Amino acid sequence: MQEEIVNSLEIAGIRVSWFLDPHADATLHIRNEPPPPFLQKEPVFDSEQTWALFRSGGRLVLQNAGLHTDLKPGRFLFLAPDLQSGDLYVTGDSPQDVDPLGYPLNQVLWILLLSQRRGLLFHACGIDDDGKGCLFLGNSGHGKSTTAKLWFDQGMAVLNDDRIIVREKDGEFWMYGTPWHGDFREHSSYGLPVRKLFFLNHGEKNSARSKSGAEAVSMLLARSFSPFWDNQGMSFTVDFCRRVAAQIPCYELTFVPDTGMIDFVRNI
Amino acid sequence: MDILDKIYRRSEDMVFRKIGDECILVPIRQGAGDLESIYTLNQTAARIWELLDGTTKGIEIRDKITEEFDVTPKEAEEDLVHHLQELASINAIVEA
Repeated sequence: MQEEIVNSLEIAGIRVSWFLDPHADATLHIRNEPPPPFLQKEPVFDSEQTWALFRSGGRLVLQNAGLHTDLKPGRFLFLAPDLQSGDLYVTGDSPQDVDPLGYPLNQVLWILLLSQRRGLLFHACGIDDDGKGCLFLGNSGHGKSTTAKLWFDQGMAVLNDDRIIVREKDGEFWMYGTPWHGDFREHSSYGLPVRKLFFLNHGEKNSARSKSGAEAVSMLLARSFSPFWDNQGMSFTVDFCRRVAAQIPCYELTFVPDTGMIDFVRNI
Repeated sequence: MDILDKIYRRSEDMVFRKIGDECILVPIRQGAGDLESIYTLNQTAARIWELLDGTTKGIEIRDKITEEFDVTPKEAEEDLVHHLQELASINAIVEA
């Protein structure tokens, strides 16, 4: 049975709606038809695989295929320059998810909206340790899903094992779950303040080394989904990471994948 | 022309922020290649970066580095040439 398409999607307090909604950050109209012909395509960013961003006719266009791949794009999101409205043209395949954008357009749209001074999407696992937010950052293979399972099995809530959004609220950095999970499927959409931040790595024993300054900022950026194509958005992102590294204790954590990791992290 | 006689300026396609004594450089790019290329400049390189303002000659930068850091003119020059070549190789600077 096909799942019913939702009318709006709210992630980390950012709402995208498919109908007129005064509280939405962006309102999109779905058009089940091919997009109008492109008079020109001015490349903005090409992932070279699953998506590309370009300018055409004064609008930003996001498509679900690289510009030079064999994949044929089936979805095109035309966005106004301020990102507050857009038209989603859907052709061929049906949406993969309950939201009509589907992967990867949904994540790229959030990256764009976050870059407007809202926050940043990280390659990270977020754990709610009885109200204390622990953020474990890492790229593929660094142990995010393993970490999620270890803490979940001990009764802690997992916000997400792969994609976490961080936003600044009331002078603190809050982390929020997203629907975009990795191998560990349990996730939650709420948010809580980040108290400790770890750059994950597997190791032969549990150990933690404090990281700060430019090194911590560089490590944060390398584990983020940043708007690398946009000077203004990237300037905000680097400043955002600088503030995160200045406010939250950051550690490089090597860990053994057993419950000993939990006590080790709590005692840091 | 000798590299020390040239005038360089920072590329507009590079976001940079000074953090403590160091500096982070992030290239603005249109493709997925080198997505992890984020550069950190040490104290001397960060100062050289600051001085690459599009009006100051390489030789003047060498003299400033000699004044401000505990190095000989020869050491400052070697360091400067090395950093200019590195920065040029990642398109972080352009000749003014």
